[in-house]
Amino acid sequence: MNKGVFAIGLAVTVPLIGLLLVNIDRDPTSISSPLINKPAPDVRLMELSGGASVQLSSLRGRPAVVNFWATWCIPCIQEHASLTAGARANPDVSFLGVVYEDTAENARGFLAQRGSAYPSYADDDGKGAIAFGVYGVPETFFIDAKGTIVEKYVGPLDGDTLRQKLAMARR
Amino acid sequence: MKPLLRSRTSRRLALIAGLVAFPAAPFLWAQEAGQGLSAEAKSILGGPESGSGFDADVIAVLGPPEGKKVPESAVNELAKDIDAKLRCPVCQGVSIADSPSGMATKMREQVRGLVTKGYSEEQIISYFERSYGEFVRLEPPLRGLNVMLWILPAVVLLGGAWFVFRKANQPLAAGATPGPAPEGAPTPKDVDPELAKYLERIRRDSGTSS
Repeated sequence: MNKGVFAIGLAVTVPLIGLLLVNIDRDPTSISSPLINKPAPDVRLMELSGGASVQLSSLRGRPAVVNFWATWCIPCIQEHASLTAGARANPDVSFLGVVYEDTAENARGFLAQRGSAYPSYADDDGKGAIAFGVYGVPETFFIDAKGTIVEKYVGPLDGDTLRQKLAMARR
Repeated sequence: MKPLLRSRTSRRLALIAGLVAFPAAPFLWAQEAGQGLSAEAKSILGGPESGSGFDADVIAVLGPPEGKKVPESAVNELAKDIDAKLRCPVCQGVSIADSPSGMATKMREQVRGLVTKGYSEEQIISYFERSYGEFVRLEPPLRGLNVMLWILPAVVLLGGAWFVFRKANQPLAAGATPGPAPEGAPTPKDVDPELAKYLERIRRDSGTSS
């Protein structure tokens, strides 16, 4: 066999196989957020009742959890109890929900029925979701007291994961 | 060479080739993607509560508008141009201009708003890039590792062409002559006996003997 051809073949296939092995258990659909370790977007959100608004930067000074959710999203229903319990157990953390692609009316109905322990905000123009780079719901951002995003979690949160991520935001 | 890169598949192949050629690629890539946009110039426009109709987050990320003031009539056209360059994050490889989804609609509204405020195209795209990363650009920018996407296929193609050309024109080694046909090699007669009489006739007519 031609040694040159063999060498070229090796040079092409070995790195390719290496690349496959390195990334074998990487989820190709998940794209890590460029916002990790960056300041949280300073968006203004309207309260669901339509009255007051909150500027996100005003929450600095304590850790915050920003959860994007919708009433049509089944995993959001799954995680609702964990988030509510988490907010009750951690009064030193600001929890806030942001309603994604849903009406304030639906959201109010949902919270009235299932209970809530922290405020949820409307994001009718989508600026909040865009600024946070949301792809879908549920997505939860953990922000430390300085206003830096320390972690993004995609999918329904359970109590243990929530505790673990909160510890990161407290650090 | 350009049309070759228009298809998604060839870009992907090019990307894979680029990654193969440069084992350090993932690290360079991470560095590239991690480049932050400085949060500055809040003070320039009077901070988040300035009430000037500016979005605090936009100012924190982009600073003051750097684009030319666009006349009312041109806003739509410019916004459409920018929409076509932004990837819809909830779709599959479609620009926000081409997507009917709620998210794309809201992004289009925001693009329009930013154009109206005088932000330049590059500023507007980088605002979305802050939250979605380079992924949000439908056309990968020609910088850093991405240059490989454009160059590598051309290099491979030219390299292949050169190789084939060289092989085809390789002179025979000194003293070598094309050998005689191997014993028992088929002649046209063997292939098709019917052909023989026509061959004979052609040879007779043209004055060549067989």
